[in-house]
Amino acid sequence: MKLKILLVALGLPLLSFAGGQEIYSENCEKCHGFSRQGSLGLPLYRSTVANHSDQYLAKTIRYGRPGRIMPAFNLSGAQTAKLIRFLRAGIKAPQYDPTSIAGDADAGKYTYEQYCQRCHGAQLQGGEGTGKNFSWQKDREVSPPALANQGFLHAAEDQMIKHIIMNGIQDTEMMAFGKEFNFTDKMANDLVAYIRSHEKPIEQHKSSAAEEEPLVFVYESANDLGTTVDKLRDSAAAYNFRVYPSRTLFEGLGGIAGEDEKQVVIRFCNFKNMQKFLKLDPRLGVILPCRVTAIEDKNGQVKVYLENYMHAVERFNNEQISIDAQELINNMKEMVEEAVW
Amino acid sequence: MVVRALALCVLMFTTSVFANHGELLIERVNAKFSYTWLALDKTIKAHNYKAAYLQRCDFALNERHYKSDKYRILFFGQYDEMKRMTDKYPELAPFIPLKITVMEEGAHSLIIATPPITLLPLVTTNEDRMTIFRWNEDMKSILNQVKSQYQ
Repeated sequence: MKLKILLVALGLPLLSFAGGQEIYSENCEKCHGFSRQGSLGLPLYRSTVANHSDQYLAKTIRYGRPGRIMPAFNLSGAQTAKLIRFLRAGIKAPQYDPTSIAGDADAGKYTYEQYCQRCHGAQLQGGEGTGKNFSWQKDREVSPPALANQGFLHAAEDQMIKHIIMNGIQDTEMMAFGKEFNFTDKMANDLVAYIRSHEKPIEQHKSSAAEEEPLVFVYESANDLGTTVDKLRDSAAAYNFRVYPSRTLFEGLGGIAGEDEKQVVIRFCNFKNMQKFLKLDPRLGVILPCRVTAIEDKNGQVKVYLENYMHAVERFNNEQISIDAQELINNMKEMVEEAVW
Repeated sequence: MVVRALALCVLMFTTSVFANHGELLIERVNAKFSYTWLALDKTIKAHNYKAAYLQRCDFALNERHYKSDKYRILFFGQYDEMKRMTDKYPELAPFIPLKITVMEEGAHSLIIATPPITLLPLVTTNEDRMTIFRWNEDMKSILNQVKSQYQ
């Protein structure tokens, strides 16, 4: 009996009684907004979703967009179906012929460079930053999607891509190229063939370099605590960081008992980099400000602890940040190495 | 006590099976920044944590074509417990105190945190794993309660 109760208890999370709205609220609204108006993620207006097949939406939910913020969601088939029904809000799902479109990819490349590259990027990498954000002005209200993203290519049918090229997407900057620029059927087919030529087999789990690295870098200092802190501050300034007043590790937490001066946090920030990263993903504040912690143990040995920020950066699922952050993290490691010498 | 420990173990098992540990914890709050900030401060206290200090990250943001300069980080924790943990595992120090970021998004706010459960590899005993796990559950609960105050 007890075993049955335990099995039922463990199995409960697998069952879902939630409707589409609840599933949206639980998983999607934090990025796509309460009214699906877009925010960190793209808008999910009814008019936008009306262009997408059920299969496209289901695969997008399942695989996400690797390196483009949208994570992969492990929803059940029933949950996915409910969510899609909610997003459609009564609008009938379009049906696209699943057969591939044959076209001349070289000719499509030429068309892409003439008409599409300006928004979607030379490498089909899409616009910078997040989908749509109210916190700052951008060149465009909605960041153009990355057409070379494997999540997109895996989800999208050729006929859907062609339909969007020819008819555009209402309420977005994606124009109807059939009407506005007199695209022929062949031009659209060639363009689809060029976009499709970027597809590779999708990887379920791509192991990252950070996985092999420690969560924290630990350095032994050759100096006493006071000298180590001074040298860390000087070194941070030399690496173009603005250095804040130092704090004790538990400052503000435990009154006088918390003011253990053997544990010092050195905080610093490079504002230019901060602005750049915030523009790419405003959630970056969760790892700010940059800091190192110097601790003197009972034997008088001073060690410096630096978070390996690559682990944190990878949580953003933002390829651009991962590339740019590596240099910054290497600078921080050099900065500490100089200070503890 | 035994029941509580058992419940946490079951929760740890189910969470490790079904949840993606790597993802950021995020909630969208249907309130302007100042209301969210107040609610967060109160909710942290209600969870028996103490707010240590805030870090403003809004230096000249509105002068650099940002529409909002409401961007702050709140650091919080429990002294005795965090002191015990960092004495035992100094590698935890870069992650202490815990922190939650609050940013304005038009009429809404976003509250964001790194899941403390990502610190599990740094501790070695079951008791300490349960402490980290509780921090994680508390963090989720704080974010969820702030959100639910303005639904």
